[in-house]
Amino acid sequence: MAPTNEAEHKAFAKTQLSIQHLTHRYGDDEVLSDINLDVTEGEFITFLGPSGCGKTTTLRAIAGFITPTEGRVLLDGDDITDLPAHKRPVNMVFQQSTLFPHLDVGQNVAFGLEVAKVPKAEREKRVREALSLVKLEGFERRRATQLSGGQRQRVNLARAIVNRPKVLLLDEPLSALDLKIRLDLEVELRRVHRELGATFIYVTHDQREALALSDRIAVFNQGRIEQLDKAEVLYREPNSQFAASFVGDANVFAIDIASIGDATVTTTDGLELPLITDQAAVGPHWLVVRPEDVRFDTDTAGVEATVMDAAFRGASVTYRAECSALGASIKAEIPDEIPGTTIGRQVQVSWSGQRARLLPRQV
Amino acid sequence: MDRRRLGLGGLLRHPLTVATPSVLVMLAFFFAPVVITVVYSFLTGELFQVSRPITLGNYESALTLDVNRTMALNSVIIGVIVATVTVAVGMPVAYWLHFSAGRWATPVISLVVASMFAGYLVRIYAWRTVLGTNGVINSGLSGSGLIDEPLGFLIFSRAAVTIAELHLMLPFAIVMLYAAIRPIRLDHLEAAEDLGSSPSIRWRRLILPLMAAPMASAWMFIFIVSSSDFVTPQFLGGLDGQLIGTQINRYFRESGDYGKGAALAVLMIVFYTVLYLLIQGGLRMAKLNRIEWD
Repeated sequence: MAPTNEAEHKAFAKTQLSIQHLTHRYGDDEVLSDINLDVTEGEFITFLGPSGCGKTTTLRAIAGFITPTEGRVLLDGDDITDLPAHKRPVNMVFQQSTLFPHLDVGQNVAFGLEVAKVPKAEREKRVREALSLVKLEGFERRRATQLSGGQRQRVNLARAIVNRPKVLLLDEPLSALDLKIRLDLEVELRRVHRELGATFIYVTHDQREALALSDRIAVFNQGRIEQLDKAEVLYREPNSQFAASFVGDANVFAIDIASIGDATVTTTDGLELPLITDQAAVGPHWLVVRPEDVRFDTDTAGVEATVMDAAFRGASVTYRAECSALGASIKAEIPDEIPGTTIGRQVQVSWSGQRARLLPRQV
Repeated sequence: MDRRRLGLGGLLRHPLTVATPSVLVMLAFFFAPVVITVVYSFLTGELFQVSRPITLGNYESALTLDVNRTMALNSVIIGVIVATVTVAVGMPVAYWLHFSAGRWATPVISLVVASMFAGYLVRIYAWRTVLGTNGVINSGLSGSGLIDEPLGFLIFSRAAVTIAELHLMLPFAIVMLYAAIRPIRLDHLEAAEDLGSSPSIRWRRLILPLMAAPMASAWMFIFIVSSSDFVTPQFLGGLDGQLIGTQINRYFRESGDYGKGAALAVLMIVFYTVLYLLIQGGLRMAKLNRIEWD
């Protein structure tokens, strides 16, 4: 049974990788500030954030390519902070393919085993198994130049997992690939993770990828972890404005609550907005509403807005409506096109009060 | 392709049209001289002319004269030392320039190239003033009381030629190896490290195999240029520091025996060709002759 929350999660399985008070500076520039993280054995965890947020630096500290200014990295309880990269039982898949061009696919995958002096017979067996796991049986004699981009990343994956690392590190391994191949490889990665049962740490700036792949997601921002949660929790209950707007699409409104009703709150401007929450309090807040929770022209409380744009997405239609009362543009994702909703029309915009989320706002 | 519909633009861009100038240059300035040299080597030379009868005598004397053997041996020894040392020094320099030098890479490589702008003869003369009996080294050593007599072996010797050739050739080694190391990315090194390679294993299993072909090319180039030099020995070589080029130069420019000079030249061409084929064969056997970067 899948654990349902953080506390239960920890109780179920043992911590394999522990990052404690990790801080890193380049001169006066602090790129990581007190990162703390426990990763459970067999977990698929994703570091998500914009470029320069510290996610890759953290990954490289785990791999051993940088020594952090402060803090420790523990693997199975052993302090590996000062262990050089080539002595760590972790392996990494890089953003760009790093296959060695003087070796064929089989020799590339066997590289780590040869360095570790694994006997030839076992080496060959494990190379075969690793290639079969990434669905490239019989590719041993091929050269990297004879492979597609997606196949190359599969070989890079095989070359890493053949060493049976305790933790597999993946540094945006799909970001250089076309969308279709990326989607295929996401499915493959999940399958490989299930079949191996190893711990995966995945770095990406693509929130869609993070939501699709991970058991848990650590949202990084400016060298800190903003939120660490399961994908659904992160999406439904973001605990910062940054997490809300970075993970999934979100309408984030700056509001000032004057009074709290049953299913609505009233702002100091006199707007009555749908919201059901036990945390509502008077004062400045962020109101987070997912586009798929937005509805037009219903009976419930809402705001007046003007439709500015409609884009057909296949499974849904995305509308953008300008709301002068909220001083914001509202994005709505609605399953079916609403007849007569032409650009320039006035609509009554509303949303599910249950699903809207209120976050504290500093002024 | 339909020739009539090619048009002027098409004709100008046709592969044959594009290749013609370089083919003509190679025929006129490489192929023809080689053919002439081969022909001369089988004729009897005298007073800056060649004439029949056809003879193998030039080759006989080329292979048996003691002075030729000595100079050929000098050429091989100095060529091997110079090529090996410059490549061995150039390799870590190229590595440093590419992976560690950062913003220093461009100024340093510019200085290396700029050192080649100083005339060849100027640099040879510079070594005369450094190595000579009244040169910088000897006057420095005697001034500090370390030696009473100037060190004579520093100039007009094999050592002097070797030192000057090392200086002349090192920039070539650095520039050639730096150009060749650039496709290796930092994450290739990190990947090897991540797969368990210590720094020495990284050199042995990644950098040296990837650089084997360019290192062989640089080695061969420097070996050919330094072992065939006849100008440096003339200024710095004295009696025992002469190379085989000196002898060819004498036949062509002093005694006028074109036949004997041509025979030596042909033997050098054959020797270099065989050496090149051996090195290429070795690279091919190790499957390192052609690296295909993805």
